[in-house]
Amino acid sequence: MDKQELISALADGQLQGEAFARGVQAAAADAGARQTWCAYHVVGEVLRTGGAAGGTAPEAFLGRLRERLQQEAPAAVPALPIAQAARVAPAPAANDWIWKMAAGVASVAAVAAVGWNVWSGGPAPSAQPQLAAAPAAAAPALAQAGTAAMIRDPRLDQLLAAHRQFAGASVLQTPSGFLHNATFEAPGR
Amino acid sequence: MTKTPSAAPAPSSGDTDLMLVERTVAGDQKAYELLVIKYQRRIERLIGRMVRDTDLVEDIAQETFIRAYRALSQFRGEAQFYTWLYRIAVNTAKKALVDLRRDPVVSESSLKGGDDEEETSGVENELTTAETPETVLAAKEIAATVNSAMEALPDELRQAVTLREIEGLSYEEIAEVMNCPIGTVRSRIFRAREAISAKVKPLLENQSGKRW
Repeated sequence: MDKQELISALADGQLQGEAFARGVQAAAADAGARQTWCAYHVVGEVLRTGGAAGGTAPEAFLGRLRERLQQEAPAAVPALPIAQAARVAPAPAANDWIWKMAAGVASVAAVAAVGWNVWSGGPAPSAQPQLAAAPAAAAPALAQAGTAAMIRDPRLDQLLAAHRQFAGASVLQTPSGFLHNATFEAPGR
Repeated sequence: MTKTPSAAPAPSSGDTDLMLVERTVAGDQKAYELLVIKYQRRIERLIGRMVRDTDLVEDIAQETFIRAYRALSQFRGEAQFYTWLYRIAVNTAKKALVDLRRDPVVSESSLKGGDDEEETSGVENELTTAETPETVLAAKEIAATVNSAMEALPDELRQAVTLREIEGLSYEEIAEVMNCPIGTVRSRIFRAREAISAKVKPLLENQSGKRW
């Protein structure tokens, strides 16, 4: 490909990598090459829209802009190419180590609390919920709920007392001592 | 040639813009100059819809490209480069109008038509207030020259450049349509452009140093 053909392919986005770099160098090399680049885009614009947008002569506009660009700091260079940067997770904040340390301390504290709870053998019997401690005295109980009558089977209470350890645990890892969920099927339902 | 105002832009032109932005951010100012040349006329036309003063149009366009250059590292390629530039141009023009306490010739609502290239191009295709009879005539002359040069092209060159510029097909798609290698497609498009731009360049040169 000669220089002009390279500029044409560049205008069409057909160049990659090293060829793209050569295309940019060719198109921006001198006033003639820039005019070719401009003319190709004017031609495309006329073909697509039926008309060309007028404006300041490109070289005059560019000359003035160049003077101002020289006073500007170079555009900031990102660590990664822009296309990649959009896909990469943001970099950790400068104070990231503080959060990591805080998370570590919190984890140790949580483990210590649970360990202490297990080591102490769980809460004293007196701390158990009274409802769960009551079943020995619970004779067949009668609960009125509207028109439906529920007869509590004493064998259920015995079963609960014997298997209290399976009754689940609270958030703080202490046995809850009672069933959380039960289903009651009344004949009328 | 028939007008196709709604024709989609070339499919890979956005990739070229993004790659030119990346090169600029990496320190190649020449790459930015190519972006400026590519979009300068459209930006001036857009600004011309907001301000009366022809000289002010160029000043605001210059400021637009300076602001874009400063913010270039923030451009992520999520939108088309021109869409991003369009917003900067509108904001720059509004600020200039506020600073100068001038009234825009047209309401701002007419500039808020949309974000993508298709919608913004509709705004720009109307005559701008900053255009003089001379610039209108020059633009018409360029358009007529392009169209007549296009008519004079051999069939295979005209078809190749039409499929590329008007239909927006890639080189691969054009090769399939024309049943020829991609290298031939690239060569035909280039030769068509060269033939047309050979007629257009003298018109651009004649306008050197002034608006056209």
